[in-house]
Amino acid sequence: MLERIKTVVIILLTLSLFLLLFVSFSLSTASYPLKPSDMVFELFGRAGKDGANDDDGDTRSASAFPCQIAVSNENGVYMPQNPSQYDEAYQFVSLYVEEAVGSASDLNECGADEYKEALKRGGILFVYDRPLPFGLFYAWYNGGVFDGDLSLISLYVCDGGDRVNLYLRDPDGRFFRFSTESGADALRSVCGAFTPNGVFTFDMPGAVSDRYSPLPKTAAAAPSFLLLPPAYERGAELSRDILEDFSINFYLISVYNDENSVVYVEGQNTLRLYDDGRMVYTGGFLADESLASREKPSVSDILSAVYPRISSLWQKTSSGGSVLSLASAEKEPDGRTVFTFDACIGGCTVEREYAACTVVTDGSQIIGLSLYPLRFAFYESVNFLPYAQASAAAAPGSFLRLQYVPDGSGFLIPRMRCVEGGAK
Amino acid sequence: MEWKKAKWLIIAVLFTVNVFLAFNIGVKYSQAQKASRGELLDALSLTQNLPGFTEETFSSLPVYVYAFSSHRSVSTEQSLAQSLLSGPASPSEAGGGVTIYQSGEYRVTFRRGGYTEGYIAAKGGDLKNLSSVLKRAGIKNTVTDDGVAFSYKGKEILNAHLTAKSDGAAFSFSGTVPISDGWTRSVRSLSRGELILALARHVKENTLGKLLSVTVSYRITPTGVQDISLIPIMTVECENGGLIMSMTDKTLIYSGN
Repeated sequence: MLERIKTVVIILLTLSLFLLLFVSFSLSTASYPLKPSDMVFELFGRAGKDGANDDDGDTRSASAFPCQIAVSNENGVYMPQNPSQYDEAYQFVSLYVEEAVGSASDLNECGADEYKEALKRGGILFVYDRPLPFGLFYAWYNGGVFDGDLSLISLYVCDGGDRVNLYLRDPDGRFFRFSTESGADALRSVCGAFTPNGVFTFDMPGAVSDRYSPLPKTAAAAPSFLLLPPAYERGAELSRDILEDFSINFYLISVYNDENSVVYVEGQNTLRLYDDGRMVYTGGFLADESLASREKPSVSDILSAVYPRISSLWQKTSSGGSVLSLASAEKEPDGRTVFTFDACIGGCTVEREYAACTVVTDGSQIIGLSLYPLRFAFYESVNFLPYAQASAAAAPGSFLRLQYVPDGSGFLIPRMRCVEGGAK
Repeated sequence: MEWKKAKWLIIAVLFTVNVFLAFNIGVKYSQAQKASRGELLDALSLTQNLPGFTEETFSSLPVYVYAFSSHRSVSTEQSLAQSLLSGPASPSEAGGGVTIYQSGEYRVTFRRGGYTEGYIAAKGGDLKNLSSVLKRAGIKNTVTDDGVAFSYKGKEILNAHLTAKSDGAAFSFSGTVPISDGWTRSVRSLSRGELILALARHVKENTLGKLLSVTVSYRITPTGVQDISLIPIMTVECENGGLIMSMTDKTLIYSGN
């Protein structure tokens, strides 16, 4: 009997020994005093699990961000005034736009008067800097294929009383209305939560710019930024994870120097790092494993595969808080597709010598990728002509767009420009 | 040596090693606690004496909190809809994450981000099934004057709320409800030091004045058409307003004067 007890004690002490070794090891690796259950999770439960499941194929992220967001209610229009307010507003309202677009059906063309009345009723307006195909948005938020060839420059989710309507404005000035299964009560509630600071142009006396655009009533100011040197200038060694994002094997690269760039070569893949921080890749690699089985992937399939990769590259090489936003997706006569992306700060595009990112694909293969990273830090707030006055001085029917441009002395400054094509 | 004596020796050695390891763990845990407090105090010293940024204010802030995620379950939603509609109902996918169950004039709709609404017969359906689904996933519900509030792991889910009203024959409800078969841990919150520094920056930029209180709660956030997450957030009250900040990435969710 005693021997059995001793054996049991030895077994228990041995198990206890392993348990205490595990806890001791966990405490050595963690920077926090973790609870035991959390220690197990940190060591074994984390790998490969980030909670979001993309396998069902309907969780696609948008690759285009609006240059203007406006939330209207019976009291007026709210517009974000700086990048922080833009991010906050986008976070709150994008869900409603996504739901409306995803459940859109029953397309009808409508008149400008109906659109104007809808703007007055209240809703969420997303205005885009460049025309984009509605089919891409439908693919992102519905996962399906939109049967039609419709381009848009703005989306407006509107409180239609019992139901929510989605209005779309195309580059030719036509308006379209979809029915949606979005919840009217929830939309009304979120629109009511914003305090107006603007109006639509048709309600601003003396304004001649596009009639259906939102305009802030407050004094116009925007941040300016100090441009920072590139993260990877000539002579710097590109990190392994950046090379991996270009599908270049760190262990097999050869590095060459020429007049104004460093060239990394691995087999058929070439990556040039220029003095100004630009990275230009040529070669060929699969955009994403999910495309391997698809013979003829659609433009939205390819974009959904490409965007996370370039977004990751952008985050690693840029700083300051800008994001990449789709500017165009053009199918070339030779079957290749060229995607161009702008750098955006709070919705405002940054105009520089080269596009922020260009991706050339051939089927599901990325055969060319150029990236022009942007690094900046806040400098000071800049006042410019109030929108009311700008609208009165603008070319009739033009859109007023805020963008950022380098001023030639190391700063990014806000500039207002007039873009033709609006309604008089 | 006899095996019986060897056993005593093994027990003695194992016992000694266990005691040593337990003592070592105690020391490491105590060091980790001190380091964590040290980090808190270092961060506070960098806030340049902003009013209200004291150790007292942040002493109740947990050292870390996890975010949780869940995938919408068609079977759970269908079962709930059928119990509310008191009969069989098939889902109609409207797109954009909107799933509709209809039975005659009555209807239950599940949307992305946990938003749920319904119009059901007053006597026909009941919300007990909903309550038991939530309970199985660890969500507690509390009836308040405004409706039903929800909490998880002792923390309020700030934007989860269910309201209902009856017109006699029918009963309508709507709100954001964390319906889930179970929650999976995802990311851990940032360190207290990082959060305090980010908070100080937001309070200063938004001229909110003296910090009065900080509470930790959860916020339901859609992370896709079919996925929702419970993100830990800090709700801060200041003299001139308040703000809400994510504890996983320091994003400012709301600020107001």
